[in-house]
Amino acid sequence: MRRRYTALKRKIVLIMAAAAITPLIFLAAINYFEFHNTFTRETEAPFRSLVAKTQNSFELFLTERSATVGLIASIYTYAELSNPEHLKRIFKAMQTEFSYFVDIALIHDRGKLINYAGPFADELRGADYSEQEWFTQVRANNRYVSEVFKGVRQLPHMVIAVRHTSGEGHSWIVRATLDTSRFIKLISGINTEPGNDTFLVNHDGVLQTDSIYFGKALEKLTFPMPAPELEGKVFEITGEGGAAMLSSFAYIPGSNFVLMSVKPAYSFLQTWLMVRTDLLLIFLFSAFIIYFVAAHSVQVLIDRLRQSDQEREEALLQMEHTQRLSSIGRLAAGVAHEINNPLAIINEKAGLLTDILELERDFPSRGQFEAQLGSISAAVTRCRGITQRMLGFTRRMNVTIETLDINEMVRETLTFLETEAQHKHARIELELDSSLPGIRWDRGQLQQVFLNVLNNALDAISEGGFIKIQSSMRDDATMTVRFSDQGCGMDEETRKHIFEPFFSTKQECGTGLGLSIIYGIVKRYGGDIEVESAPEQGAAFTIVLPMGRHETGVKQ
Amino acid sequence: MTLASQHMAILLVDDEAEFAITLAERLRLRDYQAKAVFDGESALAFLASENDKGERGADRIDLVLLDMFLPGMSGLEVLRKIHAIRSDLPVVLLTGQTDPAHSMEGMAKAPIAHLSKPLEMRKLLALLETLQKEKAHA
Repeated sequence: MRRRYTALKRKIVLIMAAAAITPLIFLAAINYFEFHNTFTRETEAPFRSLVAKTQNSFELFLTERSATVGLIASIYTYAELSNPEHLKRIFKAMQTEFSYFVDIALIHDRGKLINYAGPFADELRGADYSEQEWFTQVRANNRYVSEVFKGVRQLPHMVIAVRHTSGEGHSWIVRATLDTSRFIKLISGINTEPGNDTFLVNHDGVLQTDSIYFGKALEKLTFPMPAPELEGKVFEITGEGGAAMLSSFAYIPGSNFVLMSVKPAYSFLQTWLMVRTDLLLIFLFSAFIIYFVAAHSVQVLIDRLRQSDQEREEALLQMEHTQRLSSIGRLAAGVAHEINNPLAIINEKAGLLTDILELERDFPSRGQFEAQLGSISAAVTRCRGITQRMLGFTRRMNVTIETLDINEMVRETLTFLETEAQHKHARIELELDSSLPGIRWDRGQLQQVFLNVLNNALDAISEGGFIKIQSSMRDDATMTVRFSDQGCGMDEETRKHIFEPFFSTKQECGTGLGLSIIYGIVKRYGGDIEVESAPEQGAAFTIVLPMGRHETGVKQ
Repeated sequence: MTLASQHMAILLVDDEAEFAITLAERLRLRDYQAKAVFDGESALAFLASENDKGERGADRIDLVLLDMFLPGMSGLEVLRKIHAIRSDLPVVLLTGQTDPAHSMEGMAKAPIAHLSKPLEMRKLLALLETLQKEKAHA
């Protein structure tokens, strides 16, 4: 029973809490995504423009350098370029006007180094590039921008080569080396925000410039190259040690370079974490309040429900019992009336025979006849007693409030149980306060109450046991009748349940309704039944009876 | 005045004919005049005809013994009608119960007594004696 209410309570609380918390969760989720989107948008825009700006600068840088080389290849004749002094002068002018040039070389269309100005004149003398990859490419495309590589000095650098064909169909190649450390400066100069890392990689993911997070030039990136479709977008990558980073990249046209910019995502995370903590606190607080309110109101609801269930159950039981008793009563009354009529005839016939016998003084066997008629009369008297009791029972069904003498009621009840008491050799002591005033109650119901309690006492005591009945005034408005026995008593657990319907310790012998019914009766009159007991210590039932209070809700 | 005329005339109304006839016989043995009828209508008819004849004194019914449970007209109805005919006529109600409904008290001017069935002759005779004395005083 109790478990059913607990389950019901849990179910309602869960449903209520879920109903209240679900929108809250949605709200939190929407909030999170909105925040995330806004934040990403706000982070992406400057980042993207930074990448675009860097890309432009770098493209411009490369275009300028390769235009310079192209210009030199086309405005000077092969003869002029072949002249070492001349080339030195051109190289000097280049270095002055355009920084970052390391050297310049004239290469024959067949691959032989013809002339060179720069720091590696000795090492490169007589070099032949015809077998080299870049040479094949520049022959095919007339222009070539190399990737970054480590040269003789073990420094990263790159090469721009331009092939020129003169009006006479004569071709030569001008090659210039660029110091990449210079354009690293260019690129890192663009990095305005601290923590930003902008670098160049080739299409295979090999670093072309030093990176703060992913190693030095010519090392390979620790993450795979992003798909070309992502160009211009900001996306997340996992950096060293699993740290989340935001990244964007741009392909540099006409080269094998990809400009990439990376910055740690922590700034976003930090802001979000802060907001999230606030949100979480609000969420938890709301959830707690919702749960508390739901649980509390459901508890109130369940308590009411349980109470009304209990009341209804009790009322039903009471009604059922009353109905059963009253139908038994009606049946008994019917039977009594039916029997009374033939009984009256037997009575009159026997009476008439006796009358006749009186008149006939010398009737033979008179004594015998008289004895037989006497037996018939005695039997009729016995039957009359039975039918009277049956009718009396019916009468008790109807509640009639009258002024009763409590002590007399106790004595009357005792007579009902006389046989049983004698059978058990029970000693019953009365301690009745003779000054008690009358009490307005229904005789039958009061009798039922006393009978029930007394009956239980008789059941509880052993052979020759002792029962004491005391009546007294408690205060001006209430009197008490106390039935105490020295029987087997009961434990606390039993004591708690004895007034519950169907609770019985008498196994097959009782319905478990007796005490619940009389408790109902006494309660309806505004009274109470108090129980004191301990195992093997006997029990005392004190019936508290308010005086002169009319019972309500009972048909009279 | 004869002894018989000093004794009361009693009308017995009970649907149990066997009971009514036997009781009447027993009363007659005790020098009462007793007539038994078996339903309310016959009882009322008898009392009405007696009234019409204007009979006085000895032959007139002095007491009605009325069973409460009668077929057709109920005992209470018969009682009311009896008192409509003769408001001073004493009636003894025969009921199954020892102390029947008190609601009837004060309903009639004439004395009403209750006796339970099966009858105890002793009680009936005592009651009759009381009424007889009252009648003698009257």
